[in-house]
Amino acid sequence: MIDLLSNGRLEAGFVVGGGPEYYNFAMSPTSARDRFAEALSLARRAWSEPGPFRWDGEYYQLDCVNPWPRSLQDPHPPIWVCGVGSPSTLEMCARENLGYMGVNASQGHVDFVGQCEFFRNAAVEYGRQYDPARVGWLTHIHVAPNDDQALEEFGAHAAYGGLLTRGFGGPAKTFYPPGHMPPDRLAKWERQIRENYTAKAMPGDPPLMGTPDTVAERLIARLKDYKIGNVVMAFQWGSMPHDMVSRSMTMFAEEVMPRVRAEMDRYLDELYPDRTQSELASGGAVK
Amino acid sequence: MSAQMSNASTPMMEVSIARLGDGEPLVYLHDVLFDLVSADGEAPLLLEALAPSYSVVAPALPGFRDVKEIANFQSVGDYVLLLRDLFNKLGLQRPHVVGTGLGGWLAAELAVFYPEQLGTLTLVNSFGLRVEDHPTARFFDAAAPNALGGRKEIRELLFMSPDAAPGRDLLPDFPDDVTNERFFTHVHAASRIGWQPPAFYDPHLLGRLERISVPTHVVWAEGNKVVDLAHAHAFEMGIADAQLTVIDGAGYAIAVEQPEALASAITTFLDKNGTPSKASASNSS
Repeated sequence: MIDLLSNGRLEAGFVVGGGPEYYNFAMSPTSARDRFAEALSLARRAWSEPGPFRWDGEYYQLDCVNPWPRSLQDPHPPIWVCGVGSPSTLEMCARENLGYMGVNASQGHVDFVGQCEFFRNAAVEYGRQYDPARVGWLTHIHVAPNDDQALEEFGAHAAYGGLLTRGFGGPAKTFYPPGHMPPDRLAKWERQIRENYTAKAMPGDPPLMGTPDTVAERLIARLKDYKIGNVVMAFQWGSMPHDMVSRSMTMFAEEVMPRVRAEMDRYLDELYPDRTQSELASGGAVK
Repeated sequence: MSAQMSNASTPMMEVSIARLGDGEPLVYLHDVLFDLVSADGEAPLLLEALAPSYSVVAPALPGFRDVKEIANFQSVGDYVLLLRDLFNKLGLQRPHVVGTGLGGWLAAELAVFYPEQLGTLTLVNSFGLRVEDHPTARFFDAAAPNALGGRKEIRELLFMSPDAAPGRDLLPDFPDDVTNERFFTHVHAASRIGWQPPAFYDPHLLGRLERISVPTHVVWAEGNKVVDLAHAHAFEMGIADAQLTVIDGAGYAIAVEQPEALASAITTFLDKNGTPSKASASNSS
């Protein structure tokens, strides 16, 4: 319905779910990935195939699947999956032709460069041309008349944002329930957190905060390293007031966005001369 | 002492089996974090203490060697069927069955559904029951990753002396990647059936305990903070003629904190309650 109302502009985001949700819903996180995979297949089939049909899955059993109306986009709207760099998620997105949205703000630039490369290689392995439009990155952005002001404004409100996030999420120990991450990855992750903390070597990548020039330069540099065609920007965070967010967004839209678009179009065209919007328009269905 | 390792094929999965000792067959079903025989055959002290009297057969429960094993295990029933398949495959004739914690829960379920498979049943600090006002401890919270705080919280939950050698050796604060992967593998495997908060029980088991017809021994550590004594009494009340032994000076991880005392309690009961072959003979007549 939203796809029809928006004239075919809906993009759907699917998430496996955060750690605390397995507590809230009393569902074993060890079956999360299998359950997600089945739900994804079911949703895609329901969206793309005129019903009715039966679904006899391991986790879902439905006698009559028959959604109406169908989406304007055919076979269905593009699907995005959020992830924090788990190779199994990246691999699944490449295999199933889903968009991958990196939401790993807590990780560094180098980590995400590696994840993007992993995705590109995986896409090629599955016999698919890499499409920069299928990978995105989530980041905070704040634009102000000068660099110091931008950092100061964001810092003050982000501190509250951190508090808010913790309040929503429950104790940190609920963030990584067993099975949410494979054991080998969890073991390494735990050590890395400790090493980073001990060495005070948290990612010191330059933040996307400052004047339009600063933000444009840094954003373009990042996106070029990632070779991706999408960025999701979180302008509002924590206690940042509406007028400050509006000012930042307006400056971004007028002075940053046109530069980033032009430069990235040129750059991606050069790298991927035959990239098209066709795969995105196909709704991510495996052809 | 080193256990002899082998694999047994069952319809559901290939099961890793450790064997040690000599005597009447005794199947040992392990708990989550401290009494699984390692893949290269290193056995916990409890099994070494039982080995002079019994032929101990200790299978690794699904997922504990590799989490991929549990892909098709969705409910307690799957585990019970696996155990029955395994007993048949190994030709075990009414062995003694001893289970700790998670293993105790599965042993009790097996005894409910297939009482003819067991000679005797010994439940040590067993999970499995829902006891009003006595929920199992928040095991998975205590076992959650803690990059800076280490494993103190889980040690304090499991051990009476959390900073003494057995606890520190088994659950070091800042382990190497291999040890740490094993830790998370075991917690992951347990959470397949143990997750549903408050964790580790089958709401139907209490009402089915009366179906357990084999001689049953309930052994509890006085310092058990995971499943408290109310659970021991519930097992004792629910199973006809069950005998309860409470051992002091140990926490939930009694199998490694007081292995000799636990082995002695297990053996004393089994000595008095006949051999599996006698039980088998009397039952089939």
